[in-house]
Amino acid sequence: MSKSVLLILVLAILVSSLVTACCPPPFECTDAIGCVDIPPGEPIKLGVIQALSGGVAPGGIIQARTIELAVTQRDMQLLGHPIVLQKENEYCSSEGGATAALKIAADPQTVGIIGTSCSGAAVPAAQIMSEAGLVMVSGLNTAPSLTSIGGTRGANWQPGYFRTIYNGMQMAHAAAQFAFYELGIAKVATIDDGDAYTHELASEFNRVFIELGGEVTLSARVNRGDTNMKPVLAAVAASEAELIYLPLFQSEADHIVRQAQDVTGLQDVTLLGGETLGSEQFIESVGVYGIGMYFTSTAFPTGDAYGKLVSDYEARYGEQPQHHAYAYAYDAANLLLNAIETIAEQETDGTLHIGRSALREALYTMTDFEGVTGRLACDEFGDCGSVGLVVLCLDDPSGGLDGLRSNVVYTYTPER
Amino acid sequence: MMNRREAVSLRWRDLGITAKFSVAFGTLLTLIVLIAIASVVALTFVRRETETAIVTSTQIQHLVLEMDRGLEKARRLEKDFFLRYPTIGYAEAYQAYAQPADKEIAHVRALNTELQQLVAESDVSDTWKENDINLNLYFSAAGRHATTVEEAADLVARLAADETGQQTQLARNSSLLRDVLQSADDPDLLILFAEMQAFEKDYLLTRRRPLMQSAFNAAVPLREAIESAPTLSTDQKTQALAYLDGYLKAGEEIVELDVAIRGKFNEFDLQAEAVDPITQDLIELAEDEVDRASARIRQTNRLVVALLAVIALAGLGLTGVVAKALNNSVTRNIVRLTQVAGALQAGDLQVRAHIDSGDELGQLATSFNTMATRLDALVGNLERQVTERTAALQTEKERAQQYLDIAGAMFVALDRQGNITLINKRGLALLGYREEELVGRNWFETCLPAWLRGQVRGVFEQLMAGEVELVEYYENPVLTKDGDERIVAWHNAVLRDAAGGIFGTLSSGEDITERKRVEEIVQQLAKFPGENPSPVLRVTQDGTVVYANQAASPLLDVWGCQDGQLLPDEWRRFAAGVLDSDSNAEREATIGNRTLSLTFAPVVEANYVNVYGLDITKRVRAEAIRAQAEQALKEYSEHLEDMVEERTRELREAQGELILKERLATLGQLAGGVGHELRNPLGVISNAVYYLNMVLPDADETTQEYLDILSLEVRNADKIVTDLLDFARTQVPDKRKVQASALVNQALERLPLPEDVELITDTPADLPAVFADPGHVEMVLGNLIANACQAMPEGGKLTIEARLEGDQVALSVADTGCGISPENMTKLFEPLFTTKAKGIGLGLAISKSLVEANGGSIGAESEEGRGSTFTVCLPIEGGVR
Repeated sequence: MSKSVLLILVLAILVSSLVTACCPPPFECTDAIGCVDIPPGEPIKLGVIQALSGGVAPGGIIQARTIELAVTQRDMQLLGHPIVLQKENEYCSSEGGATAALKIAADPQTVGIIGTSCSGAAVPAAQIMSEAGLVMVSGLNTAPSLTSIGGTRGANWQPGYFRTIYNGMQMAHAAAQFAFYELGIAKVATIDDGDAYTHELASEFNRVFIELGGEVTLSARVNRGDTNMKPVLAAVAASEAELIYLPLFQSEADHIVRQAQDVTGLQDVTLLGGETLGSEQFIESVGVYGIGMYFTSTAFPTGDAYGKLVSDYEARYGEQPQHHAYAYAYDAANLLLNAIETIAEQETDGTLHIGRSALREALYTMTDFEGVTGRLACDEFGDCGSVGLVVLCLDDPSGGLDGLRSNVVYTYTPER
Repeated sequence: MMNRREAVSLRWRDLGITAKFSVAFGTLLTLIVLIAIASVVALTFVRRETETAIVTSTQIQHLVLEMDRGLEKARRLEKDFFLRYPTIGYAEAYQAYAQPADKEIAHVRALNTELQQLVAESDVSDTWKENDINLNLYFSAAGRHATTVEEAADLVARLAADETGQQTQLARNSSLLRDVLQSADDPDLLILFAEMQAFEKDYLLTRRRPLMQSAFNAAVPLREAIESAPTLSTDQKTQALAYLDGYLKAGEEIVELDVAIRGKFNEFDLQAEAVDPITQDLIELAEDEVDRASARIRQTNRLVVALLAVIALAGLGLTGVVAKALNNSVTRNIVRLTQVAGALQAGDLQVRAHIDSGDELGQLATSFNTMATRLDALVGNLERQVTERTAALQTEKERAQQYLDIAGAMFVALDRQGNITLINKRGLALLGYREEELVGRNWFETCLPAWLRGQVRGVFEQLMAGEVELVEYYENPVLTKDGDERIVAWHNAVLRDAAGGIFGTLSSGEDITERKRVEEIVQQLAKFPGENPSPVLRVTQDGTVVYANQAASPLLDVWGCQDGQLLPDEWRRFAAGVLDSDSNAEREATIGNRTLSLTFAPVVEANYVNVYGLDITKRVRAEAIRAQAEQALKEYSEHLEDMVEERTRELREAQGELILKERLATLGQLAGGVGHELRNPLGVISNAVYYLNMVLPDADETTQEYLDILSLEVRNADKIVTDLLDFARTQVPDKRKVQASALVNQALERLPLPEDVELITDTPADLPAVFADPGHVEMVLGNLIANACQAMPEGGKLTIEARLEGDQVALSVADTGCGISPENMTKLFEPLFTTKAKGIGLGLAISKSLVEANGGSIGAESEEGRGSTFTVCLPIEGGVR
């Protein structure tokens, strides 16, 4: 071998040694279900699935706005990367949820989803999300089957699904106990619309009410979009129920409340509505027909953080939120962003690596998250919310949502 | 000292031409090879680039379009599935539509995967690679779509499967429950049941849940009534309650299934909303990709063209240099030598070539100059000798010419080639030329007609070769300068030299053109009477035949004389008489079965008679036939008018019947075709109404009203289609023995009359039975009764009678309605004729067709304002028909 060749070889070895010594080894993803690698300057992508049109849209739009607010408060950035929100409409339906989830899951760079509004939409969306390796945090789904029922996995549970609002089972308990103990009702009828939220709440209410010693005289159902409620109300009247539990969305509940007065035998019946009816629009719509109606609801958050959220919301959107559940969406967004911040690995050039399984694990083990709705801790089924529940009574529709909120007639503290 | 350039120049000058060409063409060949190599390389590059770009782009476009088509087809199949299962049954619809839709979606997904791989592996634009998200969504949406189709099909199966579907269960329980309730003989139970069922039917029509809830509500008092019904046994109550429970359960299931199916419809719509823009984007991207490939091809082409242009220009420059060198050292010297040779040829014997080169051209120039010097000396001597000889010959020639010009005939001398060497003035006058125009020119080409040249020239050449003897005299035409032909009589002599060799000819000629023409006219005139096909004779005063043409031979045979002999006495006297009278006379003569008319024309001054015969046999016969025909025609024309009139009437009747039959047959085919074609779309419209009712359970009242109108009109249209098909169908009667009264009663039972129509029947029971298809006759009577009722909107009397008429039973249906106008009476039984606002005018046509198929007949009488009577005659059993 000539001297010149030998010299070149030595130089090559020296250069490669220097390169190896000064630069870290390339990132190797060891996450069980993969990583999202985000190069410098590229965004962190999050999906937002909410009901943006239809009867439930007011609630969904408020949720979406609140999520946007949470991101804005972080200057639309996380770990030096811009945050991009992909908003999709779920139409508060199973098919809408499925289609929205498919759109979001098609992008392999998407890290997680904040949503949905309706539990019915969440059932297929959670499945699609889970199969794609994402996480999903909802601030409004309450159907028990999405997480757990009585300490066991719900039928629609999916790995990676979380919620910051309460499990509907707790609300059913609160409603049943209020009816049985506080109102002294012995016979009840329930009306649902087949959606996971309404159906599961009605079923759980029936189960608990019977356990308490009451009688469920009728479990009726209406279709989404029905306007003629007199036949179902006639059936209720025939069943001689003293109270009708209505875990329905606004449109159908509106017709029921208005038409109940015209059905013989229902003039004195008591109406008990669910969380979604606690909105300015519903109160305005039913007007005097709603006087005396009860509403189950979460206890209202307090504290400086919540106060700041309210003022920020008003400052950004020029109005107060028309529904009080938006705070759970705010917590859902921050819960997810914090978890990403916790587990993301960042290289010196800014490249970000987010382990999908690690992100899920971070959320499942989250035990001390200070949200505006309280201190959140997620259990193994994805339930992270821990709030008190109340029952409100509408005495004066002219007082609006604030008037309703101020008229708490029953308080329930759920067990965890 | 000589520089390098001068040394090269000197070296080049001393090279031979072969070496110079070798160097020049070697350089050019090298250049061509270089250009060829560059072209091959460039073309290979272009081809590879082009092929890759085009193939990839085309594949992408093809895949995207196929995906789009596949998805569209799948959607169409799904829609057909939901539209058609109510009519063709779930199982068949599933097999015909749902399964193919599923396969189509699987195919679309496979194409999507293929497209993703193609995009990943090929050199497509970044835009495509960024569209990976859309491709992912397309793939997952297609998968979801397939799942949704399966789920929807399953829901439909649960709803509508033939035996197990909830709709079947609902209908079955409803039917069984009704049967039990009917056995109770309790109207209240049936009313409650009917109320419940009415709500159910309304639900099935509108798919609005509150209606089914109303049915459930109605079931509560029904249940109580069943439980307390005194007319039902305990077992019957148990049965009825079980059926009611089954009914309610099926009802609840149906409602839930409808909701779920609607959800699937919504999902299809949402999926389409999500995927359709992607498809459009992909198609546009694929088109962009093709455009991009085209742009790359154009760019590469421009590059290659520029490269080739540079190479070609370089080659052109080098070629110029080589050409310049060859021009200086070779071409220019050749040109110079050529110019010198040309000058020498032109007579410049002083010219010389000056070439300063050591090659072959330099040596050639030296040799050329030497030859030119010697040639100059030789030519000077030769020219002098020629001048002297020429002058002597010219003098001799002018003397000979003077002798010939004096002669009266034309003279012409030819050399061995046939060229004119001499011609005298007579010859020039005949031919119309001046001497200088002819001397030296070829005789045969100039002065003989074209048709004669070859022949005469051949003889001339043979003469010059000594092969034939001279023809001293002959006549032939010559061609003048004006193109006229003149006939000349020639006397010829051969010109020989001192050694006896032939060196030409000398001929004297005389123009005999006019003489020849006169001779020919005389000969032609002499033949004229002989060529006449009719007899021509000339007879002298004493009756001697002095001329008879060939056609006169049979006549002379009959007369028993010959040319030069006397005519028979009778004819001789006749000829003499004609000559005396000096006027023409005609007379007929018979030769066998021929008749001749002979005209005797006297020529008094010559004292003879010319006889001209004409064969008039045909004319004589034709006149006889015409006379017979005129007689026959006269007799026949007396009966002709009657026959024509009768035949015309028969033809009109037959034509009318034929037109009617053809019209009916065509109408029948048309009706059948239209009926079948309309039935399918009507079925689809009916299903679509059902489908709309299902997916629009909350339709507003106006929409629902329109849907109900659609249902009603579809039923009406179906009735029309049934009529059309009845009309088109071949009516094969199933004849049997049946009483007329029974037929009338059956028809009346099936068609309740309006309250304001009074019915009078007279159908004696003792009438013999008719032999006909009862179904056909009932339909006919039904049509007639319905028409009668419609003719009496304000009420009236309907009279139906039956009576015996010969071997037939006549059934008449009479009304007291508005009657039929006389102009309409003739069209009553024609298809598509109607005077009613509704109906298509097939009822009476069908009736007529049915009656005739049963061997009967139908007729009508009417008086406007008084009413109409339609009578159907049918054969009795054992009748002739």
